[in-house]
Amino acid sequence: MNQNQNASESGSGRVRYHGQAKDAFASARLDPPTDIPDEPYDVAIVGAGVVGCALAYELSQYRLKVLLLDKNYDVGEGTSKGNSAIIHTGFDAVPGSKESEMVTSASALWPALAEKLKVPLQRTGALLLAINEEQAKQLPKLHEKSLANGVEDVTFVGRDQVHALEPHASRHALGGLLVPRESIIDPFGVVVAYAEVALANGADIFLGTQVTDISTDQQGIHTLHTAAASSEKEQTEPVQLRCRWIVAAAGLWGRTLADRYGGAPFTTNPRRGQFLIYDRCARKLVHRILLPIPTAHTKGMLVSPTIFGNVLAGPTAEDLPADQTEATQTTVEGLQAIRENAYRLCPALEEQPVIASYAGLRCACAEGSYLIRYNDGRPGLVTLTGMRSTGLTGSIALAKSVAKGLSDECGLPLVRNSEATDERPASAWPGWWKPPFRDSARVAACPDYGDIVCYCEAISRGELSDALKSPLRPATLDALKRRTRAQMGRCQAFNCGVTIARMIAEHTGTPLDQVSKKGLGSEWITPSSSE
Amino acid sequence: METEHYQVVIIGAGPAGIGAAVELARRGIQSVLLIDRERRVGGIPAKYHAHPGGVATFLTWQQGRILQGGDFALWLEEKLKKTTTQTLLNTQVLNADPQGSLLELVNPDRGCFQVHADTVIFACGSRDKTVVEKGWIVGQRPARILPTMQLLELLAEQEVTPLRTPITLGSDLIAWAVSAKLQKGGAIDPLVADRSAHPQTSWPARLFFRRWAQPRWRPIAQSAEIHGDSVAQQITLDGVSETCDGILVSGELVPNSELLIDAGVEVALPSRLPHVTGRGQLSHSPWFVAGNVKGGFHSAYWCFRHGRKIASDVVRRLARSPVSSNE
Repeated sequence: MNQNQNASESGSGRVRYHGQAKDAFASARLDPPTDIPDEPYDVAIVGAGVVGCALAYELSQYRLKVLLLDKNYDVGEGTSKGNSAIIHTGFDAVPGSKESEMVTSASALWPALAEKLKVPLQRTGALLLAINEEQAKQLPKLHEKSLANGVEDVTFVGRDQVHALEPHASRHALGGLLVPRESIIDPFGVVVAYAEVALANGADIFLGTQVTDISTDQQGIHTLHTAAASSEKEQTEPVQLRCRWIVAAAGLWGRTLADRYGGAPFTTNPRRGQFLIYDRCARKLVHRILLPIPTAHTKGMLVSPTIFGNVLAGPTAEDLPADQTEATQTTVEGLQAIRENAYRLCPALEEQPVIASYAGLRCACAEGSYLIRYNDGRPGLVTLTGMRSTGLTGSIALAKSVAKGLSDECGLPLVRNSEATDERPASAWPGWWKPPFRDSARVAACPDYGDIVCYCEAISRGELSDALKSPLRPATLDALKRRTRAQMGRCQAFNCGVTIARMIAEHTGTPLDQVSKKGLGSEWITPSSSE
Repeated sequence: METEHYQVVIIGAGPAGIGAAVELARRGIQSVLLIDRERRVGGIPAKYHAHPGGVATFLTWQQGRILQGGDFALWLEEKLKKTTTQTLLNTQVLNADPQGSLLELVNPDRGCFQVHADTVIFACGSRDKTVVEKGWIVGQRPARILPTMQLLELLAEQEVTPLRTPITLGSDLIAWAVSAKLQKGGAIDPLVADRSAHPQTSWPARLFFRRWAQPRWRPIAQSAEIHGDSVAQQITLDGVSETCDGILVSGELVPNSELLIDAGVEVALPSRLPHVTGRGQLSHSPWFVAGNVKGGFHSAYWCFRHGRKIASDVVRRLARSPVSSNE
C-alpha cells in the first residue's frame, strides 16, 4: 500500500491524497505522521496546473526536495483542462511583453520537449484569414507585429493560395497570413507528463490538499497548514507541511491564497472561454488552425483541428466577477456565438455534428500577464499569476525563468541532480495514440488489450488498467478520461461509463457509489448511505 | 495477416442482426459471421432487465405470451442458438472498407484480425442523444448527469439506486420508461422535462406507466441550465429553479453509424443517418442496412422482422452474383 516509503533512497516521490478512510483514494491516503518528512521540503509549489507541474518538472532536475500540492484530485484539474490545446509561436503577442518573451522562447523548446514528455505534438500551422477589405488592410500590421515578436517565418498568402491551402475556408477570404509553426498538442498529457517526471525524480505530490494558512517561523521556515479539500461533511486532521521556499501557482485561487500570506495586491477574475467540439467527420474540412483577424477587444474565435482527430471551435471571452471561480457553464448565447464565428471561417461546419462542449476559465489579471513576484509578502515566497492565454505554451519557459529567479532573488541553491531524468519514464501505458492491440504478442500475453471498453475511441480494458496503475495513481472518472480518451468520444460515456466506474471501484477496492467524477464530493451516483 | 472469408458478415447482434442470422440460416446460407462488441447478444432489449419491479418495456406478443425487455432478448438468443451461425462477441470492428467489404476486427482472443465478406449487413442500432446533441441543455457539467444506458446497467444491479430525486430531460417513450424504472427503484418525486409543449410519449403510453410512476411534467420553451460544480444539484428550466440529486438525459435516437462515417461513407448530417435505397442497401456501397440504425424509432420486434427481410434481400443478391472463391 505505502510504496516508496523512503523517497530519497528509492529516487521516486510519492503521490498521496488527503481524504477519508473509505473512499477511492484510500490506498494512497496521506497518512500523517508517516508521510510527513522530518526535514522541511526545499520548495513547495501550491497548484498543480500546467504552470505548477512545469515548475515541479524543472526544479526536480536539481538537488531539491520538491512538494507539489493541489486541492483537486488530479493534476491539471482547473484551468489547464479547458484550453484550446495550441502551442503558440507568439506571433500575435504584444511585442516586448513578458508573454512575448516567454512564448517565443518556449515555442523553440516545444518540439524537443514533446519528445521527452512523450506527448503527441503536430505542427499543423495556422492561417489567419481576412474575410473583407477592412480586415485585409490589417494584414501588413500583423505581419510586422509578428516580426517584432521574433517570429520571422510568417508569410502573406493571397486569395487563391488561401483556397489552395484550405479548400473549405470561407469563400469571402481575401487573403491571410500563414504561421507555419503554430501547433496542436495533447494538453492533458502535458500536465500528467510534467508531474510524472517530477515524481520520478523524487518530488512528492499531495492531491486533495488545500492550503488554509501559511505561517513562517523565525528561521524563515514556512509551514503550510493544509486540510482535505473535500466536502463540509467530514473533518480531517489538519496536516502541516514545512518548506523553505513556496511558489504560489494557484490560478484563480491565487488571490485567496495571497491574502493568507499577505502578498502584494493584484486583481484577477475568471475570463470564461466556451468551446464546441465537432465530430471527427469534420476533420477533413480543416487542415490548419484557422484564426480570425483580431479586434482591439479580443483575439476572436478560432477553428482548429485537435490532435485527437476532432475539430475545435471557440473560445468566447466573457469577463466574470472575481468570485465566480467555478463558473464553467456553457450558455446558449455563447455556443451560438461560437457557431456563427466558426461558420464565418469555415461554412461547411454548419452541417457537422457537435459532440461536446466545455468552458475553461482563464485567469485574467488586471496588473498584466505573467506576473511574477519574488519575496512576496515574506522572504522565500513567489507569487505567479496572470498566465491568461498562453500558460500551456509558456509553461516550460516560465518554469526555467522562475527556477533562475528563485536562485537569484530568493537564494535557492540550484545544483543539478546528475541522476535526475528530464524524460517521461517508460511505462506499460504508452498513451492513447499507440493502441497495444495492434501488437499481437501483447494481446496474446494480456487479452485485456483486445477487450475494447470505450467503443468510440477504441480504448481497451488493458489500457484503462495501465492508466489506473500509472505513477500518479489516478482514481477518478475524469482523470482516466483525460489520460486515455475513454468517455470523450461521440457517445460521451453512454456505452462505457458504468464499465469504467466498475474498473475504478475494483482497482481501488471501494464500493461503486464511492467512485467520483473528480474527487470527494463529486460521487458519480448518489451514495447509498447518504443521510 | 490471414484473412477469413464469409459470404455474409452481420455487424450487430441485436434484434435486427439476429433476425438476419435466423433468416440466412433458414435459407441455407451457412458462411455467416455475426459480430457484436458487447459480451452478449440481444442488443438493447438485453439491457432492459425486468428489475426493478417489472416495469414493462419492449413488450411483444410471442407464442401466446407477453415478453418484456430481457425476456425478449432471451427469446432472440434461443432463436439464434437453433442456427449454426458463428458468433463473435466482445469483438469490435476497428475499420471497414465498404467498397471492398474488408473488415478489421479486434477481440481479446485473437487481437487484430481481418475478415472478408461478400456481403455485409450493417445492424448497429442506435443510442440516445447526448447532452450536447439534444441542443437545449447548457450550464455546468458536474457528476450525476447520467445517460439512459448507464441508468439501465446500474438498475440491473440489485443494490444500486443511482439517483434518489432525479430530473429527467427528455420525454419520449425511452425517457418515460427509464424515469418510471427509476421511480420503481426508489426515486422520489421525479420530474420529467422536455423541450416540447407536451410529453413526447403519447397519453395512452403514459397511462400504461402510471401503475409504476407518476412523474411531474414540465415543458421547456427555451433551455435547461445545469448548476453545480461537483454534483448536479440544481437545474434551471426556463429560468425556474428545481433541485435534484442528479439528472437523467434520455430519449431521442441517434444511429450508430460511426463505422460508416469513419470509412468515408456519406451520411446525412447532422443526423448521421445512412443513405439507404429502397432495396435496403447503402446508396454508394453494397452493404445492406437493417434495424434502427437506418433511422426511426422501431420496436425490437420490428427490428427482428426487418433483419429477416433484409436477409432475404441478401439471399436474392447472392443468388445473382457469381460464387466467390476463398482467399
